[in-house]
Order: sequence, then C-alpha cells, then structure tokens
Amino acid sequence: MWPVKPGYSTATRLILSIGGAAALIFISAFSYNYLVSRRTVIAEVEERAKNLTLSISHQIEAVLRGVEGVPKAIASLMEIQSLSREGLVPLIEKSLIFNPDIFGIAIAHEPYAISPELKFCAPYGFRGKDGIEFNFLGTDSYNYFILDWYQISRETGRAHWSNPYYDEGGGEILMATYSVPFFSIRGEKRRLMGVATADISLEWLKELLDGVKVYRSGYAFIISQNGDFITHPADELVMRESLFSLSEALNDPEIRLVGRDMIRGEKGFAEVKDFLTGGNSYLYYAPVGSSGWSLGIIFPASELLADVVGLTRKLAAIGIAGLILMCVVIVLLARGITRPLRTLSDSTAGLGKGDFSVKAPETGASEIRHLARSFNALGRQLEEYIEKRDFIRDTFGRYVTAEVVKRLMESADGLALGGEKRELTIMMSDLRGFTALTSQMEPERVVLFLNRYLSRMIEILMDHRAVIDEIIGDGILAFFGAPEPMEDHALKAVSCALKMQLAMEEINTVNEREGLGHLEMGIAVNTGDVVVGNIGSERRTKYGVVGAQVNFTGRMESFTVGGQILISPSTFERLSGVIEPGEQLKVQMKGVPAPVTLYEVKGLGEPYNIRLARIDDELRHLSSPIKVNIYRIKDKVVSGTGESALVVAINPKSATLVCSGMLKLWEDLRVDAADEKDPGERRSLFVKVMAVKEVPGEKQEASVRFTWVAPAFYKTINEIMASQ
Amino acid sequence: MTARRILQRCFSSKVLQCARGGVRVVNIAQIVQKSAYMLVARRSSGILKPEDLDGKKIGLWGGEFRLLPEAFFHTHNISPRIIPQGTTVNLFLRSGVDAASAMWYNEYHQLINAGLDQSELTTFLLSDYGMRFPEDGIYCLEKTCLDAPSLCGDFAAASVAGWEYCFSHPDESLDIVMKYVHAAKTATNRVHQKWMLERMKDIIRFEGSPALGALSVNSYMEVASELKKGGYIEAVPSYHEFRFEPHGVARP
Repeated sequence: MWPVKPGYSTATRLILSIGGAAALIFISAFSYNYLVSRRTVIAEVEERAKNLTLSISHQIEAVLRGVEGVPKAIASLMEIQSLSREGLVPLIEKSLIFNPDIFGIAIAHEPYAISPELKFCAPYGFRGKDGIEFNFLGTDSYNYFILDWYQISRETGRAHWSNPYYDEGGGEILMATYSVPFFSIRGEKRRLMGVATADISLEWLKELLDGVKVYRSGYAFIISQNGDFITHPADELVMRESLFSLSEALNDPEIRLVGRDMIRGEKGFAEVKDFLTGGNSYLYYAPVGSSGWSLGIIFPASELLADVVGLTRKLAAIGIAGLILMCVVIVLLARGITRPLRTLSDSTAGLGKGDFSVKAPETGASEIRHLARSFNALGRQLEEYIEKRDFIRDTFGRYVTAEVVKRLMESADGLALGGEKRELTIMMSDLRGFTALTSQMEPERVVLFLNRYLSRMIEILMDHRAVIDEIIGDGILAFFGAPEPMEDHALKAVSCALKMQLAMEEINTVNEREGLGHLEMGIAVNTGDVVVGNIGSERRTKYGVVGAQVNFTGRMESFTVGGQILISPSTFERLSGVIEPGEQLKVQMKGVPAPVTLYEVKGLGEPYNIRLARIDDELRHLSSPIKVNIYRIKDKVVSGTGESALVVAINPKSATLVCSGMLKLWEDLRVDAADEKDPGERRSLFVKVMAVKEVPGEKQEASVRFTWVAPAFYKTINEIMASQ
Repeated sequence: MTARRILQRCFSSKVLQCARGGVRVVNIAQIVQKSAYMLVARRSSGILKPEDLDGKKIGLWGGEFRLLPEAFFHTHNISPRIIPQGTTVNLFLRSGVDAASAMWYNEYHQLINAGLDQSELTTFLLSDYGMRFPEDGIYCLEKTCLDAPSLCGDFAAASVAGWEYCFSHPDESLDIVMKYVHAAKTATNRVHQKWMLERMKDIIRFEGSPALGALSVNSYMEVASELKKGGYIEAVPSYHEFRFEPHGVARP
C-alpha cells in the first residue's frame, strides 16, 4: 500500500460531522425541553408551596389568634377596672377554663403598682396535675421585671410573642408566651401598669407540621424571630440551632441570607442546600401571622424534578441510542462506499506494480461505479499504451529519437510497421583502419575510443531523424525516410554525412591528444527502394531495411577513403544543384554489371552551407620515392609476403605505386614502409587499387586510395605535403 | 465596703458572693486576663461612637457587672438610661433598648446567630477603651489556702492545665461540651460553643498576656488605681493581700 497521509477515515468524518451536528441538535432540543419542563415544574411547585404555606399559616394563626385574644381581653379589662391581687385569681381561672388551648395565664404588675408595699404582683394560674393551680410570681431570685415575657412588652409598649422556650417544670414541653402590656390612662398620660400573658404549649405545632408531607423527604419547619428552629423533623435542631448557626456550621452564606429574609417577615422562594442532607432543595417561606415566626417548606429538588429528570433520562437514552444507531448506519454506509474505493485503491497498487490486468468491481454507488469504470478503462489504456511503447522501444531500439517515438505513439498508423517497400536514403559509414589500429590497444581504450566516436555519431544521426538500423563495431547502417515519412530524406542524409565528417575532426583532436591515433571515416549515401519493416523473430524484432540497395550501399562504402562522402547516382540526382561535388569515381562493383559513377560530396550550398575542410589533395611527386612492401588483403585477411614497391607520388588521400607485381583493380592492399626501424610505430597504409597501368620495365603503376593511414605515415605525408 | 472587696467584685462575681458571707477569699489563679465586656448597638440607631450612647436606653446586667460600663460612661461623660438586662439578648433584638451589654464570647455571638450581621452593629469592647481588667479567676477561702496550700496549688495547676488542653484540643473540647448540651437540652449549638472557646482563648491567652493562671502585678495595680481614681475604693490593698501564691502556679 502507498503511505497514506494521517487523517480521518470517511466513516469517522461522517460520524464527526453528521453525528456531531445531530448530537448538537439533540442536546439543544433536549436542554431546551429540560429547562422548560424544569421551569414549569418549579413554577407549579412554587404555587403549590405558596398555597400549602398559606394553609398551614392560617391554621397556626387561627390558634394563635385565639390565644392572643385572652391576654388582650385581660389587658383591656385591667385598663378599665383595677382589681385587687385577690380579684385577679378568678379572672385567670375563668379565662383558663374557657380557653383550653392556654396552659397558663399571668397578670404581672409593675413594682408597687397595686400597693406601695407590694413590689411583685403577678398572680399566675396554670394547668397543674390536679387542675388549675396558682402561683404568685416575683421573688428576689425570680425577678420577672427583667424577663423577656415582661420586659419586652414593657420596654416596647407592644404585645408580643416570646421566643419559644422549654417549660420550667420538666423542660420537655416547648412553650411560648403572648404578652400584652396594659396601662393606666389618665387623660393624655399613659403609664405602664403591667403585662398580661398567656402561655401555650407548642406541641400541637410540631404535630401539625410533622403531618405536612412534601414529596418523599420534603418537610415544613418554623423558625422564631431569632431564626431558631421552633419545629423541624430533626429534633436536635429544635431550639438549639438557628438558620444562622447552620449557615455558619455548613459554611453556606445562602442560608443566612434566606434566614434574614425570613425573620424580617418576607415571603420568598429560594434554592438552598438542605440543612441536613445538603441536597439541592427549594425553600418556600412566609411569615406566620403576627407571631414574628416564619414557616418554611423544603422541596427536595431531586424528588421535585424526579419526573422531569426521569423523562429527561429516557429522552437522553433514546437520543443516545438514536445517535449510536445513526453512527452504526453511517459506518455501514461509509464502508459500503469505501469498500469499492479500497478495492480500487488495492487495484491501483497493482497497477503501480505493473499489473494492468487488475479490475475494480463496478459496483456500489453510481459515482463509485463510474470511478471504477474509469479506472478499468485507464488500466486497459495503460496496457495498450505500454504494449505500444514496448513494441516501439523494442523495434526501434535506442536509435530513434524520443521525438520519433512520441510521434509514433501518437499517430494512429505509426505502428503499421509491417514490411513495406519505400524509397529511402541509406547511409553507411565505417572507420578506416579501425581494426588495425585497435588490435594493439587495451580493450578499455578500445571501448573508450569507440564510445566517444559512436556517441557523437549517433547524436548527429538522431538530430537528422535517422533510424539507426545497425551498429557493428565501428560501422553504422542508418536510413532516412522511415518509419515516418520524410520528403527530403536524401538531403537529410547528405547533410548528416557532412556533419559526421566534420565531427570527426573534433574526435581526432581529442584522440590524438590522448595518443589514440588518427582515424578517418568513409561514408556512403544511397537512395533507392528498399523493404523496410520489422525484421527478426518474435523474441527480437528490429525495424530495419533490406534489399539490394542496402548491399549496394555497402559496396559503395568500400570505395570511400578516409574523410570522404560518396553518394550514388540516384542520390546525386535528387540533390543536383544543392551539393558541391568533388571528384567523380567510376567504379566496378561486385554483382553490378555496369560501372557505376560515384560522386564525392564536398559540401552543401545555400541555404545549408555545410562544407568539408578543403584538403590539399594535389599529388606530390617524390624525387626520392619511398620504399614500401605491399601485402594483399583478401577477405580482410592480410596474406602473402611483402612485395617491394615504390611510392612515387602521394597526397593525403592517395598515392601512386610502382611495383613489379600484378595488382588487380579494386584490390585491397596493406602498404608498409620498408625502412621500418621502430616496429611499434609502423608506417602502414591500407589502400584500394583504383587504376592500374603498365609502365616500361615490366612494371605496373597503380593509383591507390588510402582507406587507412597509420599515424606515423600520416606524419610523413603531412611533412611531404608541407615541404612541396 | 472595703477596697479589697470592691476589687474582688471587679474580678469575679463569685468573689462577691463569698464576700457577702463575710468570708475572706484569695485569688489562686487568674484565668481571664482581659475583659470581654462589650456594649452593642445597631448602627441604624445612629450609635457609632461612645458619645452617641448619651441619653440612650442601655441594657446593663445587675450588680458588679455595672462597674465596668459605668466607668466607661464616666470616662466618656455619658449619661444613658439604664435598663436592667436579663439573661437574653431578646430585648435588644426586639428593639426594647438602644444598646445592650454583651460578653464578646457569648451574647455578641448570640446576636450574630439571631441574624444580625457584624456590619450592622456598633460594638464597644471595653478592653479596647483602656479597661483591660482581668475578669474570671479562681478564688479560694484564705483559710483553705493556709491549711492546705499544696491542695490549692494542685487545683489551680490542674485548672490551668485543663484550659491548655482545651486550647490545644478544641474539637475534643467541643465534643465534650456538646455531649452535655444534648443531655441537658440546652439552647445552644456547636457553632456558638466554638465561638466561645475561640474568644475565651483570645481573652485568656493573647499576645503580651501573663502566663495562664498568673495575675500580673501591673494589671492588679492598674485596676486598683482605676477604681481608686473613680472613687470606688479609698485605698489599694497590697497585691499579696489579694493574691495567694500556692506552689505550682506560674508567677508573673
């Protein structure tokens, strides 16, 4: 597999996007629902709490009102009519009898208010074990003037409910006292005479509030003016803790704020932590009549909102299940989409490894099917393309320009390469004396030498859009005009030949610098009909030419000397007027009945302007002929013992030999200088006999063309040419 | 009334009770080293400084408790209407008086625990007004001290050690107190008891206070001369007449 950049899979992306969006919508709707339901429930609860509080408050108030009436009535009576200490007792007794709710009644007087001798006057009737009992309050140790029930009404001049307290007797019964001051009124002047009180047990209050059930664990409680608990389901709080001590103990300032509100007689609804459990709760509170007490009702939030929470939980479960289901569907869907993609991906990997036969299944969503189809088409096309490319490469070898290959690949009929007869221009080149030169060289140097030469030649050939048919050693067979049609194949070929010859000068410069010897190349160019096509077997095919004209070109080539380009008459015809001709050569070729005229090309005129370097090729007649030995070459093999001969005239390309033997026209010879001293630097020539004539003295005079000149001999020739 | 009795009254009501019976008692351990007496008023009533108390209704406890606030009124040249104060702060809470007496460690916190915020109150802690009178101490019949000095010394030392233990083990102390609170159904709570213990520590052992149990000669002389200046006593009894030093009690 190809390395994949880290990222999320399609399924993950879909889950993150669609699932995220769905979750967001769900959570929003869910939260909204929860908040609205919660608000509704709380509003309902507040209403319910208000009614409940009102109802309880009324019940309590009814009792308290009844109790308050008694001392009020007594106080009124005391203001109208002054009674003696003894006269107070029946009043108290009667009042107790008619008011069973009241535990005790006192009519306490200011010091010496009744008589100058009596500091304390406070008859107190109460329900004892044996009916109503009496007591006269006020001693040095029970100084009622400084007790709350008396002093508060005295100092404020108002009736009031005392802070609840435990009864003096057993300390078990919670009591409260209602005190009403009474005055002696003389005209405008009001003077405090005393305080009438009624005591009640608050046990009924506890029972009343214990009967209030609010959900499962909610409850009602009452606090006093001081914030002390008068009733609370937890007995340990009653008359020991206040809302303020709890606030401090629980370190919850909220409770203190609520408590202050409550003792000020406010109504309200607040969120608090339950005093005992610490659970979130709602507290509704309202004052209890004129007592100064406050009633509170605790609604545990968990129970209050149980339905809402239950519904919300169910909704959440449904929502989460839905989300999970959606994710599963997304995963399945994504897999359905991505499975063909994965197969495609695997197939692509196969394609990358060159297996074009892989096929992607054309299934799944339409886009995926389309993609798979395109992919399969791509595979087929690639297969065809590679086939075509391989064929072209195999066929044309490396000797066709990339441009030609590209054109062939692109052209629809470019591959119609079956054999066809076509007029082409064939070129053949060869290095003179290459074999002889290299026979004594190191193999590495041979290769270096050959590669330098060939790479340059191939480059030029490619430039001229030639197809290189074959390279054998130093020989090159190339043709112009196929596979792609070429109008001016003859001109291209000649131009190419000229460039090649010119390139030889550069190569020789480098070679001579490296001591590789001087080499010359002969080139033959011929135009004619040949069979061109893919030649070879299944296993190895090459695009090449065959036919008589190819052989003809080969023969032509053997007439060239170093640095020479010979063209056939057919080529010449096509280029008359363009080429700058050199000598004409009438030759007799093997297998060709009539003599053939070959034309030497010196250059191409306007607009090509390519010319070979002018060479001084005038024969120099030697005043002292060079003694040489000649050896015949038959089928490229030097044979025979050397025959003596003399070189009487010479130029860089040819010489005139005088010898005694019978030299044949067109015969190939090796000519060695006879006065050889250094065998390592043998002065040799390879020549072709071009003309033979008899000269006096049973001798022969032969015109020979050099096909190869040994570097040492070349030096000699140059010296001769320079000296004359 | 002899100067010695008046002094003893200043230090402890118990001493007074003994003195009433004509019994000679001596101080064997001074526990509270400065007064926790304070006057409390509502800021809303316009009482912000001592002078504002002039002409106001002020609740004062009876008897010897009046010496200190009266000295305070005298110092600030105030003539309030004195209302006898009972054992609760309800009269003040119901606005029956403009200012009330409170012990910093007890009644003051009762007011806080009845819903009044500290910020709503003006407080005059009398020790802040130069009345650093030592308060509760342990007194003993002089005769007992002379008869069994080591017993008295051990008693004083044990009491001092008890206070030390309370201060270093406040939670345990509160647990013990609350156990008895529950048993007796006393109308108090742990928060209040905690406040009491902390404030007791503030007045028993504070920066610059004498060692626990010790009675500073300087404090003694200061109180005595203050009382003499105020005309409560005519002569200052000697420190040694007032204080018995049984063995084992830290000396000043």
